[in-house]
Amino acid sequence: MNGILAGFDTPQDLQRALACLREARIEALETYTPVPLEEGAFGSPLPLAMFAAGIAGFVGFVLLMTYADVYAYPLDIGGRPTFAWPAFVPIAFEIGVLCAMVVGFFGYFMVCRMPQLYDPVDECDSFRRASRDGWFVAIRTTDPERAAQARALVDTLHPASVEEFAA
Amino acid sequence: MSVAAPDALPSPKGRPPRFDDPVVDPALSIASMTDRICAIALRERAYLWWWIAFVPCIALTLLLVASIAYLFYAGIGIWGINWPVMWGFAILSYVWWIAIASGGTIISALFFLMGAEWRTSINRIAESMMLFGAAAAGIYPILHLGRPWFFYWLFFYPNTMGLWAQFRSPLLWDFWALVTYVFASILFWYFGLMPDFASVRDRATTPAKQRIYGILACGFRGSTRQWRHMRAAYGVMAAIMAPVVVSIHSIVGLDFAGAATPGWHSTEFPPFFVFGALLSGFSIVLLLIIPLRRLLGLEDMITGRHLDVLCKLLLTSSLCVSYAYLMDAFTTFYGGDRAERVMFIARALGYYKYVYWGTVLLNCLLPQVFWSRRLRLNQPVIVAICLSVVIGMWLERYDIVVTSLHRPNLPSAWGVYHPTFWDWSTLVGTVGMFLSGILLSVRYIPIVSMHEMRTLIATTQARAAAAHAP
Repeated sequence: MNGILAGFDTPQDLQRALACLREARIEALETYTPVPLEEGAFGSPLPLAMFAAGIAGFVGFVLLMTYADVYAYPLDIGGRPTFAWPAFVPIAFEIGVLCAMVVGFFGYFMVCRMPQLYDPVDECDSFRRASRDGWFVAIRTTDPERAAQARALVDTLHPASVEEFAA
Repeated sequence: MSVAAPDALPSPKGRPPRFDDPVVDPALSIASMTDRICAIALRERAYLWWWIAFVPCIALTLLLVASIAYLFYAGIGIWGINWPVMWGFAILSYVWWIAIASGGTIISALFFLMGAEWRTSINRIAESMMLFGAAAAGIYPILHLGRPWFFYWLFFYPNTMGLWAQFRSPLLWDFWALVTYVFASILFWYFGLMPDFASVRDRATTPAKQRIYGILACGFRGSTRQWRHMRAAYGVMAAIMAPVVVSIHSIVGLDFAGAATPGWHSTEFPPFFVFGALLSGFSIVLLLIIPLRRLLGLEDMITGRHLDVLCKLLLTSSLCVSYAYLMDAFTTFYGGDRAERVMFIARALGYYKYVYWGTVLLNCLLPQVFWSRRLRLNQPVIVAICLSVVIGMWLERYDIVVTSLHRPNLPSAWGVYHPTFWDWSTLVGTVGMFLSGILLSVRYIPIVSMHEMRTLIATTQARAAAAHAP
């Protein structure tokens, strides 16, 4: 499998290159940028998952506290009701938040398939700039012919750097 | 005054802050900013000033360890607490620290949601403050337990006696709020750090540093997918953290309000405590950024604009706190409860009157100097005011905790409280631990959130280009 990593100096150059590559029907493109690209920056299952986890944590803990204080271990404190639902709100809220945060954090690792400490693209020297000021696009393909075609097209786009790597 | 050409401007280092400074110096590029911040984290040898600051802080941390060891050996009798003042330094310092931590979260999360650009360069410092403030706060409730080895009784766990925790008690709310806050803070802090660890990993020159920062970055490379999900999740996390921070300090307030003690039994407490969190948060963050911007040469990222904004916010929160003090006095005399009145008069005119009036002076009166724009940019004045506010906030908690308890409903139970050596050693020990944590994070962790700074620099440059376009 072959990989081509092309670097550009500005996000506009990268956007232009992406448009050309897509027009030539070159698939399996991955961009690596120091700041999020505007395009494709939205759409993620995480907010919904976090919301669901938060609600589940809230409801689940209200049920648990109800069971504990009403059925399992009722305690008469000055005749106050055992099912004192307003008193359950603070803990239920905190647990809901904790569930949402944990799902957001670990869910991120799952949807991004992280931690992935090594990727063949790391072999490219120019790739160090991806976390600084370089806008990169990586093309991965198994077809050598397709790779040569992609390489020829990339060279016409005047990238700041081009490197090939064994993907 | 003639206007200097942009290239003739002196280097940012040592330039006095001005209120019309931009949020970020236009001369800064995303490359130079990234290089400089990474270089700070990757320095081979620490700065001399860093050692000069770090050694005493570690010594104080060791004092904390020794104090805790002796406490566990001898029990809480080594502290000054005794009937009727059963809540002493442990509780008031806990509240003080949690307020400092909360202030950091507010800057980091709330102002993120509001899209405040000045928050970008100081958010990492605010988050470090939140983390180590929460750590300092978190150890106090355990120490305060008479039998700390039973701390797990706060959790509900299967037991042969069929016991459950009492979920209707504010003290248990506080336990869960603290657990949530500490865990959520760590996750939020680390989540925003991953792209920056990636930048440091890519600049690191020694294999050891490449490996350590590489592991910390978890393989973040800035791919489309990584950015997309990070943006989405970080926004939701910030939207969660902002109410959490209000909830934790409100719940700390409810610990007090839930008790039928004169001076505590008031619905005013939750917002009152949140105001206090704002005030201590802004003052500590100013106390941290003023030396750091000079020592690390960050004057072009943390500019006069930041000082101006933070001082204005400090003044605003000081006014909120003053309102709360005023209402505290008003409701006491309007309410007509005799025990409340007796307690309040003892607070303002009795044994602890210097604590009360010290609080008013340091938290309400001194910050009023920030009405003056010139003083909002005068760094020695800011440091002096912020230090006095930090002390004032501590006195406020002393006032709430100790003076309320020293005049309970029953006159035969009146008494006074004096801290002992071990109270003080634990307090200064946590200060040392907090500062050690901050110094370590300054040394090894990117002190400015680089990925957010890159976005900010890119948008400001695009805006400038659009303004100059014909």
